[in-house]
Amino acid sequence: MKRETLLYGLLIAGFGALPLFGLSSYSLHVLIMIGIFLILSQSLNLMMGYVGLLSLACSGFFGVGAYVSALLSLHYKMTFIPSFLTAGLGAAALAACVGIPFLRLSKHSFVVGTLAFLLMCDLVSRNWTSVTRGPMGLPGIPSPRIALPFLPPIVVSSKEAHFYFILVLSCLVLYGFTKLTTSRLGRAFTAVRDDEVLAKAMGINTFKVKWLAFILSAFMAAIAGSCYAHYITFVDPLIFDLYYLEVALVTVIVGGAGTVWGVVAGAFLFTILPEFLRVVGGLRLLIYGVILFLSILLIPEGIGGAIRNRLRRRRVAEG
Amino acid sequence: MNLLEIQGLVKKYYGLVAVDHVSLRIEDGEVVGLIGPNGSGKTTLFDCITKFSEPNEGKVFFLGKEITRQSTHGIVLRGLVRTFQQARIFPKMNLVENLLLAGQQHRLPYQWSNLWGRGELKGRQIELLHRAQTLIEWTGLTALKEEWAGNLSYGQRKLLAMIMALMPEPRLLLLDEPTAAVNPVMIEKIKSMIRELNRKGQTFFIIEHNMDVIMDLCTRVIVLDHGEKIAEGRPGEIQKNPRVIEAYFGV
Repeated sequence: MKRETLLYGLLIAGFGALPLFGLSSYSLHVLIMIGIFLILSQSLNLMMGYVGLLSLACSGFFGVGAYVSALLSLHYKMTFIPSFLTAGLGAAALAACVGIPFLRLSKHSFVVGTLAFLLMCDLVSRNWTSVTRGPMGLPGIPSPRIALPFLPPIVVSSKEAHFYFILVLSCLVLYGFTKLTTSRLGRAFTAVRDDEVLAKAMGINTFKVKWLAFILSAFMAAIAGSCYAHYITFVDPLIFDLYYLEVALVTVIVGGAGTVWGVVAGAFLFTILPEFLRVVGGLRLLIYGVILFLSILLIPEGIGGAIRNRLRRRRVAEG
Repeated sequence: MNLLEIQGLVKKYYGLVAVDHVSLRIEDGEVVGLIGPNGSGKTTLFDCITKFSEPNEGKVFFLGKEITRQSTHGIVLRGLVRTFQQARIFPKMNLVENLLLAGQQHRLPYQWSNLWGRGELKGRQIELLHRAQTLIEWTGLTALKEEWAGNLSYGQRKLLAMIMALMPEPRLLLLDEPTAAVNPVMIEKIKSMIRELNRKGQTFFIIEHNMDVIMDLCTRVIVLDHGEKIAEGRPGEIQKNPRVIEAYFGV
């Protein structure tokens, strides 16, 4: 335990020191995007890897979070923390409502239902022009201004400041996520994933467990969306584009559904990789596809799953 | 005392009446057998008691309270636990984890304090861990306790499924064919386990096709045929009952 704490401390300190080496603002941008996609992917991982339900609504809640946060700070001049929290809680409340009918659907129908939710979000954002301005989007979202008691307000405007902000936030999310998945509720998640009938027979309220997971996953996706909106300073209906869903899916599948650190590795890999592949121009998507294909063929349980299985085998061999 | 009482239970699947006005009662400390030819509605009756399927008519009482409208998990938390014909376990957890999960008190609300706890074992968890280890030792699976449950043989899975059902300390245990597809040595083991538990006061309601097991263990046997209860009595009497013989051999 002590050694792990030290390891994590060193890792975080290492990342914290990165801007001191004079990284270009482009590299910082990539790192910030890693942090945002990391939170979004963990939200999908919670549903897909822990509860065993493929929820395509995750990127819908990502967009809902971005829009709520943008609208609140533009129209109501809310400062960052309240708008950020309202975005998260608002998406969670929305998930609590739509989750009840969705979770009554069985596995594949649930996927289609959540896809419908994503498409509906897209339609609403395009057509509710009096609020969302439709395809014109909402420009000029202010940079996060964090007003803590007893401290002068911090305005997160530079790339460096954004980097530190996202670093702190993603560390908090990861800490909460590990705590959640190793808790009693987290074990109930995996029980529902592995055998829902048996979970019921063991006294687990499977519907409630799935519902709680859906709400928590919406909250995580929405806070990622809120950060994204405040970082890019612009939000339009393209936030509901399948691109975000695809990145999160690939990250979780190749990273290793049901593992925390595998998905972290996946987030790094699949945010950095497309950037490197820019040099090959048109071949980029092709190479991306080949890498995806190979990784699914060679490590079906993802990076995290492969490492976990290897560690396990060694532990059993040692007795 | 009456543990379980069923009054006029009916379960229909469209035209087919799977369980037809079955009434029965089970007293504290009994081992009751439920037998009948294939398709006579035994498992459906278990499903209706534990609410894996919804009965069309009739009432089920457990510990004097009606549970017909309860949910499955609610019934489990009251102390009525079942096992399945096909041994169900969590394949990607080891034996201890399987048992701990089964023994968790899901009746407690998910407290936030649990989420932020320091990962150390606390009173209740230590108690559960001890209980899990005692049960594993008792079944003789100690050497395998770190193994994934998915790697166990079928007979071992049956044993595991049974001790998982014991973890929440049920008042009444419904066993669905505990010895089906299990080798004779393991059958003897399961029989002696049931006998020992019954001596300690555990009540059982067992579906079984193996007549030796029924004759050895049960204090009372209930026979179903085409969803109807056709006989009830001591094992010796049941063997001689003409209606039962007819149901089994069709003469």
